[in-house]
Order: sequence, then structure tokens, then C-alpha cells
Amino acid sequence: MTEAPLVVRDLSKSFGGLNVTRSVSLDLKPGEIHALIGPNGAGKSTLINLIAGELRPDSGAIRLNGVDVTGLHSEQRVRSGLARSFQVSSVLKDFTVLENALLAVVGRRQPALNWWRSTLSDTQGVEEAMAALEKVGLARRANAKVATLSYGERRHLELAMALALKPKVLLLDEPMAGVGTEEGHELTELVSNLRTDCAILLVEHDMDVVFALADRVSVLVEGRMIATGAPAEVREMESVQHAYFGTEDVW
Amino acid sequence: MLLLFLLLAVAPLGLEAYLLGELTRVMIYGMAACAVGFAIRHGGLVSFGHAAFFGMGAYCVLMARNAGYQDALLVWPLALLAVAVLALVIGLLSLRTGGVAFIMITLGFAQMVYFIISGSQSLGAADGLPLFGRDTLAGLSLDAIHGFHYLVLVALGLVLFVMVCLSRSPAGLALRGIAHDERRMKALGYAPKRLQLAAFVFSAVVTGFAGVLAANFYQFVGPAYLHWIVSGELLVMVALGGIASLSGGLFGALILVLFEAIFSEYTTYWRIFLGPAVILSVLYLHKGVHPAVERLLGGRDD
Amino acid sequence: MVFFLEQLLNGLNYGLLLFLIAAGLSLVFGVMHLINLAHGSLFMVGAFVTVGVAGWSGSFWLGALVGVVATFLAGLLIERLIVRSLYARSHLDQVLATFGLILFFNELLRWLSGGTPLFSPTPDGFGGAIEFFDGFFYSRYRLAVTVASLVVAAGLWFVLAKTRAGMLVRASASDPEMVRHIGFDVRLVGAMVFAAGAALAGLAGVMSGPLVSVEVGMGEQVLIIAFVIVVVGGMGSIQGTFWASLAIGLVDTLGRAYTPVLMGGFFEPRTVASVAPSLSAVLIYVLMAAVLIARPQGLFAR
Repeated sequence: MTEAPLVVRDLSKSFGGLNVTRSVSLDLKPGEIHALIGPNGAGKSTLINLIAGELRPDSGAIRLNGVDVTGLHSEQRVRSGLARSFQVSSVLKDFTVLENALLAVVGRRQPALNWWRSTLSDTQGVEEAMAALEKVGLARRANAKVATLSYGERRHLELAMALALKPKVLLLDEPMAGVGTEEGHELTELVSNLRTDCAILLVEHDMDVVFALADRVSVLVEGRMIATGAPAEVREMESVQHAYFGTEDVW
Repeated sequence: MLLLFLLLAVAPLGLEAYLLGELTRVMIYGMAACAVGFAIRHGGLVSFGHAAFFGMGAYCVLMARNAGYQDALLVWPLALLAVAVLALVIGLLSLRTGGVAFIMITLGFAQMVYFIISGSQSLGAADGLPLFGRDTLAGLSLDAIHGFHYLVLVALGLVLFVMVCLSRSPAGLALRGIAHDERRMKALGYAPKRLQLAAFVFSAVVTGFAGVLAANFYQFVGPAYLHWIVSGELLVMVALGGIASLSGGLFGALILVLFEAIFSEYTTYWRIFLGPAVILSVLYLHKGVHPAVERLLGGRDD
Repeated sequence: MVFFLEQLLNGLNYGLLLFLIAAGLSLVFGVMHLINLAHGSLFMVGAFVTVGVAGWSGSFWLGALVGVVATFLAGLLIERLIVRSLYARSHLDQVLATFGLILFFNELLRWLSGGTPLFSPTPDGFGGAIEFFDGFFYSRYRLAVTVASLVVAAGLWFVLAKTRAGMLVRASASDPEMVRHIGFDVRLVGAMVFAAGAALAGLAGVMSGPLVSVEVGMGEQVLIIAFVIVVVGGMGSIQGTFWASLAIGLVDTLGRAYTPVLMGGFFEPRTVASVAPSLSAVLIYVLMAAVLIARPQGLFAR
């Protein structure tokens, strides 16, 4: 059997004596949505940034599809099949929706970057970009400037850009943050359908979303992974309830 | 934009030599300013060292002249090659850190080039040297201002055409993305530094070309080409013309030359008005004068 | 040996003066993330005001006092009128607006001074040289400047490291939100840091007056070197700025003193005379390049 798409082993990171990530291990199975939860300040964003390659771990290893990528830059990891979305929607606002998606398509094809031909005359690239937009239901807004999109639409575009990279592993950092209930439902269904394309590591605060989507859940508290398992199991664990929720029952 | 080109094309028919020369000067500085603006728009690189490339281009003409070569077809490509090598070295070093340090480092290296060249006796040291006539183009004389004006016009058109193509290409799009959000572009698989270096060298070569043309225009080469204030004035042109458009630098050059023409009527210390004007335009005219004018004319510009 | 000692002291003297200028630049960048090109202009204003007032009143000390106070007030005024609107702007806007300030100050002083270099008298009681030991004389004024700069640098360290105000400044640099939460006005901290930096640059100008010729353009000379210092020392690190200032001061001074001597061993005197000056002028930029290759974030960056 081949190795899981994403394997994280004993990852540690500290900032000036503060241990933000403590010997974290994690496996992402093919086709699963794996939710990462934990209270504020647990180190979820740091872990995502470590996996994406924006931060360097002090120790530990990260493997993508069996290849050790611990020493690679973030852009190199993208080319090894990793994509991420950002917590604060960071699509490029002065560009059109299509241009944003095209940037992702072209980014994947690096380093054979064309300097001369107009981007829009690259029919294959445009097709791929449109396909990604189609998937998230943004195709009809292709030529709109991003600045004119609603917040929810920008989150959709964020997803489309990640998809256009054709990743094996997708890191979603709070994809539903700040959207309304209805759009939230829409996004939840969308993410659920992505399972067939890639394995997903999902950071999410909303427990309803986590339970609707996740095949497995991992709990991060003070930089340490205290539990991993099926959602129902994890919910019952006393250590999780204690560390994460104190004595209050919020489930 | 087209309107301006049309005006520049018919100008030689009606203008006296001095005024025509002023227009040629606008095109030369405009070309350099467009190049500076290109690096900002495509790559987010604010260079305060482009005087080095402008001056390097000019001094290459002088060096070729010293060695006995005077034809543009031979001298100019070599000059651009020399500028490219210089830009590659400075770019590699300056891009090792990002952000605001880039401004300081490019300024520092430009000053270094200034000291090296202005200290060289064979290049006229602090006084510079006259060229005695322009370069020839395949044997044709360019000494008459009319012919030279058209040559510069064609060169400018060519440069802007190349810039439009580059900016629409995937690499150009990626560079615009890098100027907006470098981190985001890395997450899409781009290696920003390599692309930025290419954009920086391209921008430097175009600026060097403007320097070659300027040396031929004035028929004089001196350290003033390399002075840091040239870098500043190019940035001022970019800002006045508007950073959002490729040809903004050209309009900025026009505005600056007009400004000088108007205020130097009253005082030799006309820059005492330029300083506050620049400050006011930065504080209150966010996108430069050019977009405002374009809106008035109802035209569109890439 | 005597020559070496003298050059060493000169280098120390120069380095400490540079520190007074670079410190303000570095603090303003660290706290407000502002790149201020007009910082060198304040150095120039300090020197000019001192010469002017000293010439009018006959007292260097009155001139020095007015010089420092004037640059402090100029700093407050500039911060209030212009710089405050720039904190939230791009580095390009900051560069442009402060470049506008340079144009204004340079042209103003060129107009007021008539464009000729001025010479400041050495203050009474500090003329001549003192004899350290048998055969080793050193300028009394240079020694006094060295001591005064050291005292000011120590004072700056004390304020930043040991006082409440200094803690506030350091906190504003690393965590402005926190400063706001405990009820302080970050803008006020910014204004005071800017004005204090201006006064330090002004003080350096005041003290440099008798050592150099006071002329338009002197501000940008030191500005560019201060940028090199900030890059070498590491952005926003005041300790790095201090050591880098000393290093640059020593390298430049010793380089100028010894390059001709060292070259004399290998080349003809004529070659040495023509090459040595520009070679020693570029030494500090070579140092900057070396630092960028070895430690791009600066020697003392955390």
C-alpha cells in the first residue's frame, strides 16, 4: 500500500521560547476530510503554515505522497501537489475572477512561464480556469473584477483557485469564516463534494460544519495533539471535553 | 494615449527646433519613467537606483566613442547588454531582502556606480565630456533634430508595445500578482524572486536605452546622468503620471517638463515649488494626474 | 603608528556622528515603519542654522542651541503636516513625499545661501590640538565631538532601555495594539520619536559644521550612508545600527587613508592617484554587498 497523501511526524516549532507546536503527528488518508479543531491560540494556524511551508519547523518531518518536503519552499510544495486557502480572503482584488483562476492554472504549470503571448489567448489555460470556476458556481462572474464580488463569492473564488492547482492535498483554513448561514450551507456542500478530488485538512470553528463534513477529527490544545478519531468518538472523550471546553457543555 | 502619439508624430511639421527638442526630451525621460513604473506595477519593486542604469547607458555611448565606434547598430545593443549585466548583479544582491530595504540598497549601489564612473579620468571625471555629434544609424546621420525626434518616437512606441505584451502574458500577470500579495503568489506555486529579477533587469535595460538616447540628444555625457536625484525624478514622473497605467510615466515626464518650463520663468530656484507640488500630489491626488486627465478626455488606457 | 592612531580616532568620530543620524532613521522605521528620505535634510538644516546664527551673533554656542531646537521643531512640524498622513501609505508614497521635502529644503537653502559652501568657525576654546603623548597631537574639537557623541549615544541607550518612555517606544515598535490598550496615544509616541530623531540628525549637523564644508547636498551624502548602515546593521535594530555605524565610519576613514598606501606597493603613483579615491569611496558599498550575500537580514537582526 502506498503512503497516505500527507504525513506529519513529530513536528515542533517554538517562537522565542514559546512552544507553539509540540511534537505533532498527523496522517491524511486519501479522500478524507480531516478536521483540525482547538481553542483559540492552540496553534492551528501555525500548524497550517508549517505544512504549507511558510514556516520552518525546528524538528520533525512532513511528507507529501511519500516524498519528504520538509526542506522545500512553499512554492515548491505547491508543485508537489499541495494547495491552501487563506483565513482572511486574499484573492487579488484588482484582477478579474478569471484572471485569478488563471494565475492558479499558470502557477501549477511553472516553470515553463510564457513571457510573450497574451494570457487570455491560452485557450487550454482558460478552459481549465473556467472548469475550476464552474465547479464552485462562479463561471458566470468570470469577467467581473474581484472587488465587485460579495464576501461569500470571494470565498468561492478562493476555493476555485485552490482547485485549479489540482492538488492531492488541500489545506482549508476556515473556509466559512464570515459568511452567512445560507452561503455557509452552500460552501459546506461544495467542500463535501471535493472529497473525491483530494484529501482535505480543514481548520474550522463551527462545530456544525465540522460534524457535517469531517470523516475524522483531531484536537489541538496548547500546541499538542490530544486526540484523533471519528467525530462521535472524539466528542465523548473526557480529555477533549476538559481541555477544550472546560466544564461547560457546549455540544 | 493614441492622441498623444499622434501629436508627437505631427509635431516636427510645425514646431521650431527648440520646442521640438523639448518634446524629444519628454519622450526620452518618459521612456525611463515608464520602465521604472513597470518594475513597480509588475513585481512591486520600488527602485531608487535607476539613475545607475540611465547613466550606464549614456556612458556606454561615450566609451564606444572613445574606442572609435559611432554606429547605433553596433553601439546600442552592446550598451544595453552592459546595462543588463549591471542590473543582474545589482538585482541579485538587492532582492536578497524584501520590502523597504530594496529601496535603500538600490540607492546605495547606484551611488557606488556614481563614485566609480565619476572618478574615472578617461570618462571626464566630475566634469563629463562632450560627444561632438550623435551616433549614426547604419551610416545615416541623426544630427538633425527632426530625424532624431522620429527615431525616439519609434523607439518609444516599440518599448511600450513590448511592455503591453509582457503585461498581458502569464509572467506579466504573475508579476502583477506578486506586486499585490507575494505570499499569496507563493501559495499558488510561483517563485517571486526569479520573476522579480527578470522584471528588474527588463526595466533597467529600457532605462539604459533611454540613457543611450539622452546622451545622443544632449551630445554630452557627465555624472549628472548618474546622480541619485535622477532616480527620484523618475519616480516623481511615475507618481504624477499615475502608477496604474503603463504609459503613466510618459505623461508624468510631460507634466514635469511643463512644470519646469512654467516656473523657471519666474525663478531659477523653481524646484522650491516642485517639492511641495510633489508632496501635495502624493497626499491628495492618489492615482496621479494622468488618470484624472484621461477621465476628462473620456479615453481609456491600458 | 601615530598616523594609524589619528585615523582610528577620526574613524570613531565619523562613525559616532553617523550613528546620531542613522539612529533616528532606524527608530522612525522601527516604530512607524516609515522610510524618511528627508532625514538627511534635517542634518543639513542643523548645520546651516548653526552657521547662520553663529555668523550673525558671533557665538557658536548660541548657533548650536538654535540649530538643535530648530531641527526638533522642524521635525514636529513635518510630522504633523506631512508624515502623519504617510504612516498608512505605501513605501512608494513615503519615498515620494519625503523626496519632495528634500527638493524643497535643498532649493530653499540654495536660495538663502546663494549656493556657495559656507564654513563654520570652530567654537572658542576648542581650536588647535592637544598632545596625547610625545609627538601625538589630535584636534581638540574632534575629540570633543567624539566625547559628546558618545555621551548622547549612551543617553539614548539609557532612555530606550531604562525609562518608561523608552519602554513605550519599544512597545510601540513591537505591539502598537498593546500600547493603545494601556491607554497611550501611539500617534504621540510616533511624533516624539520623529522629532527626537530630527533633533539627533540636527545635532550631528551642528557638530559636523566645523569639520566639513556646509553646503546643499551634504544631507543626501549622509542619508545614503545612513541607509547603508541600516541595511548592514539590520532594519529596526538600534544596537545593530550602533555597531554598523562604527564599522562604516572606520572602514571609510581607514580605507581612504590606507588604500593609496596599499596600492602604492603594487602600482605606479599615477595609477594610484587616479584610482585610489574612487576605490576607497566604494569600500562601504562593497561591505554592504558582502553583508547582503552572507546575512541578508543584516548583521544584528534578531
